[in-house]
Amino acid sequence: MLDDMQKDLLKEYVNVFIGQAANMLSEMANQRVLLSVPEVEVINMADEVETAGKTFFKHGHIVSSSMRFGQDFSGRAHLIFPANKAKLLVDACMGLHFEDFGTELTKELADTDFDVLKEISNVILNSVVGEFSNLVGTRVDFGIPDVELVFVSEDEQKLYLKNDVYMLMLYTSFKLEEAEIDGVVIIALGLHSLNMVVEKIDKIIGEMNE
Amino acid sequence: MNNLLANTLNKLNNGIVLVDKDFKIQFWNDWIMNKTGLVIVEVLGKPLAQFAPKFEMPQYYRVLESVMETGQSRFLSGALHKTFFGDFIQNIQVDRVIQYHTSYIMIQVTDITNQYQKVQKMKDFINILEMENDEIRLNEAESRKMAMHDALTGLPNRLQFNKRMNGLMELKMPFALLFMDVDNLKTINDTYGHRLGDIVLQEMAYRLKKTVRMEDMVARLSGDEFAVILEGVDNEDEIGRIVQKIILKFKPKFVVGNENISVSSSVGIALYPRDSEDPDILLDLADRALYQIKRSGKADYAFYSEL
Repeated sequence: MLDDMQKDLLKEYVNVFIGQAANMLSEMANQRVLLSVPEVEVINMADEVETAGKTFFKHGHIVSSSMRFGQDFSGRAHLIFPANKAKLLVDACMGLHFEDFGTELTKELADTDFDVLKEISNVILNSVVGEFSNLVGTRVDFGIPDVELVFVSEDEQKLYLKNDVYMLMLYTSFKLEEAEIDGVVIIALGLHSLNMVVEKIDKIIGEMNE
Repeated sequence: MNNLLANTLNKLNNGIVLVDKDFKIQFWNDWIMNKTGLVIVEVLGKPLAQFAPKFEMPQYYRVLESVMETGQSRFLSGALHKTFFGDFIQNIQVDRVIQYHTSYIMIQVTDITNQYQKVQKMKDFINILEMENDEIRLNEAESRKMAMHDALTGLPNRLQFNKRMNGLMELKMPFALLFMDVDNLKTINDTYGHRLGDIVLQEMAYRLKKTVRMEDMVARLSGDEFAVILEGVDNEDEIGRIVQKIILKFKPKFVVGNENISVSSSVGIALYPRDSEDPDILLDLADRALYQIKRSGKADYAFYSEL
């Protein structure tokens, strides 16, 4: 969908504006949080998923935060973690030391853990969606994400995302002092909104080459 | 504010606080009034930070600023930030509201104290369960030790001793079995009392342990009977040297309180597999050797094979 140059530029942009989210997370977790987006790709869900070459997330229990956004530039933003990793992130934010992570008998997410995840997703998705709206130069309205625990089987990965045709996949990696947690931010866009992004990127590339 | 709207907000089961661009309070619904004990006339037009001082902290002040500036709503969880208004645990959501080109900030407050306490209680409960579990395990280990060890000297008892003999026999590992007793324990008990007699036994156990190697086992079988397993040893000369060392260890007088007590000991020895391959018989043979040497009337040792 995107050529290498477009991808690189997009990656650079995403990394710059996700830095802001990392700072806010550092404050919450009381420790340095590095957030990076090592890979960006656009996937057409109408294509075979296999050709995309990478699974979105491992099958099993996932924690998915999502929210709809925008009118003109619109879509759905997701932040997805494997459930056990989500617990690590919550524990880190709650100020537990690494050796205490997940030592509780349940290892399950409690109600208040979902609140913490909601806050984390709120910070990250605000940053990502907010900056995308700046990039395309249009106002985008959105609220607070909903968090849910979902079981996804291998086949259902595709089904889970089926309503949205184009997926801008940002594979995120959270580096905390004592743990590394991989997640994925998915910005699902309609063709019109995706075109707005691509046009903007092409314009910037054009300006750079002048 | 429109009366109908204010009445409606006052019926809400959540707190609603509305502040203007200078973060001064413009509305404060009944729910938050009930929670904080502050009525709207007391707070109206006053800075938010006066009643929710946490918003003076840079990171929270920035949240208000950023919502006001960007319109991006923020959610702050009670699990992380505990409390902003009053003294209950709360989630808050901060949104921007615009009317006639004027921006306001609406803060919605939800009381999660019960939920939070429920989770805390569950966590505490799990901790208690874990602690109890640890205690039970410790007790089990203690009981096992008590079942296998002699309380007075801390040495393995007959049960543990038999287990070791059987274990070595299963492995076909040769060993020497030394069977020994204190020649004059009865006299010591009669002369100095049982308490001193016990101390002598403890000291004996200590000296015995110090004389043999780590892998050898010293056990107390009953009253004044001790046994030693010398693992992997089947040479009589070597065994003789070790036993002489043991007997020598008992030569120095035992100093207990003000008393200097002489202890002498004799040792009977049987060898596995040479003398017997049955643990009970082996012990019996060592006992016979001990009996023989005691009859001779001197503190010394004898091999069963020499009888």
